[in-house]
Amino acid sequence: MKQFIIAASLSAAVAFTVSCGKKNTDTSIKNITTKSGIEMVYLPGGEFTMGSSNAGESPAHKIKVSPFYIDKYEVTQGMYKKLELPNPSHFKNDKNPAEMVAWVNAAIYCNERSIEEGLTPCYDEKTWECNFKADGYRLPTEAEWEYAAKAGTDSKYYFGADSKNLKNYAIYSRNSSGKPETAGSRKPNQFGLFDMYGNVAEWCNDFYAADYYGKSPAENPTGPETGKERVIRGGSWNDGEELVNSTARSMDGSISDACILRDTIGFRCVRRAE
Amino acid sequence: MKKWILSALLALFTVIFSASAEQYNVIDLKSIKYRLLYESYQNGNWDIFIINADGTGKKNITGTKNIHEMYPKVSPDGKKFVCVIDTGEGRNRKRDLYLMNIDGSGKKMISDHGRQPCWSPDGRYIAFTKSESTRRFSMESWSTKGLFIYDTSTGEIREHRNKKLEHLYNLCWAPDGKYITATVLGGMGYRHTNIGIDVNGTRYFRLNVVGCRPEFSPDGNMIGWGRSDTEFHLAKINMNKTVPVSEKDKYSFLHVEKGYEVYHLDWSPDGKYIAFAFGPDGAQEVGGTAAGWNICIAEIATGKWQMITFDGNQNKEPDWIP
Repeated sequence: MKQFIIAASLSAAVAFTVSCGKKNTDTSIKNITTKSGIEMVYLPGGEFTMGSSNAGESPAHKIKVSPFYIDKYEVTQGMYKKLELPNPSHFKNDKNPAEMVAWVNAAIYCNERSIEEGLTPCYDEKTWECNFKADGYRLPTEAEWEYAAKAGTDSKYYFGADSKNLKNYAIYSRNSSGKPETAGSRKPNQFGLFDMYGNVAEWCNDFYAADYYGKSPAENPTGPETGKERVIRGGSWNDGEELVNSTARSMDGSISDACILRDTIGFRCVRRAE
Repeated sequence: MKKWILSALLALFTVIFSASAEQYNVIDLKSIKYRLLYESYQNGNWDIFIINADGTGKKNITGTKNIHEMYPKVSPDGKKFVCVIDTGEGRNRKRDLYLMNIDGSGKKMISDHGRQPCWSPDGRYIAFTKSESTRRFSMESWSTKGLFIYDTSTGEIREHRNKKLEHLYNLCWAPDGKYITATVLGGMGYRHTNIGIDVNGTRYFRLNVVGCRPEFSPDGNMIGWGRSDTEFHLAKINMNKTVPVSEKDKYSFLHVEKGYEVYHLDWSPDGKYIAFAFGPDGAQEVGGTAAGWNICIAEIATGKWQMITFDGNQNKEPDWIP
């Protein structure tokens, strides 16, 4: 039954079309498997309404994003192991998302995955600046993350407005057993992406600024140029409805300080498609 | 040039902050007979420096270009020290463990990929961890695998009986010789805590200490640790009790304002002082950038403290020479 629902969701996703820029001729959503065997989803570029009228999420504004690939699942501890990288996770399980991941270590993972696949790493490991023109992996911009999470919808949740359904789509404070669970153990969104809500909250590439939406460029925004905190999206196994949705924004320090690493924070990768 | 100006400003700011907090020149440093080693970053290179407790007699004892010596730990007899040495840069950097004489001569490698060393109280053994990943360099303190013991009399290395130990850092051998304490992050089912490990058994257990980097006093009756980035706590400790550190025995010993950090506490051989690193927000891990950090000494009896270095050259990890 669950498989049927997933298949139906994916069919709906493939049928979903969005308005695209001139360069984007491919408007269908596709599943791909990368050279190193990781499942990603191709998302055609498009325009969507980012944010909401809620405090901290306003103003709602139109944003265009270019096509990109995004991980179907949150990066798991097994994926860390494959790259022989130090796995900081508290709740050890290869099938679980990696957690206790500092932003810089998420960026390092992206670079190592790029190197593994012969791609150009996006992050300068001295400055942590992201080269968006590089063809390697990186963290999603906040706009890309929200575009991927909303999956063509305009409501608070991609499944509608009723938070009662959240339990079917997310591992969050009301249904978790006090820890993350196997990646992809709930229903995906219309783009076929699992755990966009809950399980672990996800790092974005952008620095955080509460007022950024008021001055964001309308096309491919990449966040403020400087800052101390980086954006986190989607909420975690320990968060409630206020954070586990498409528009809620939160942030955390991007430095790697052992005393403040959180077992609620992980990430997924994206890659440019043009 | 820009970096030099920034470092100078940070150093000046640190001095001003310290003076304004009336923490400057408050201890009779001349009466402290010991010297210390510490790591310092100058001209793009990490080296080990020796200094008198009153801040005089500072000397670079490694002085190697493009080779980074850090994390010095002095032997109980004060004649030798063990440290990590980094070679290479970026993801290809490599960290190994070395032993040398207290003047920096007679360098000898103990273990490749070795990290976080500490001495047994009799000076015969050196406990250490190894890098978790050899694929690429990680500066993270917690990025370690296993616990190993080097025998200085035979040159042999053996792995601890508990092969599941991982993500340990800041090893400290208890003065009674029976235990090693460490901070653990994301290992053995712990998120982040401080543990004691039986040297000759497989058991490990919580100390009941929140924070990081616990260090024993020379008599083994007290520990000091970083409760947070800005605060040191002290407490009585009894490793033979189920709960080695009880809540009632913990107290805040020293704290600094937000925006500054204190790290790398080390007890003087007579137990009357602690040395530590202090500076503006920075990276405390071995090799981490911590512009404006200086070595300080605090008096246990009064809580008074002051800086003994003022150059702000990322001075960290002080270790007393007995």
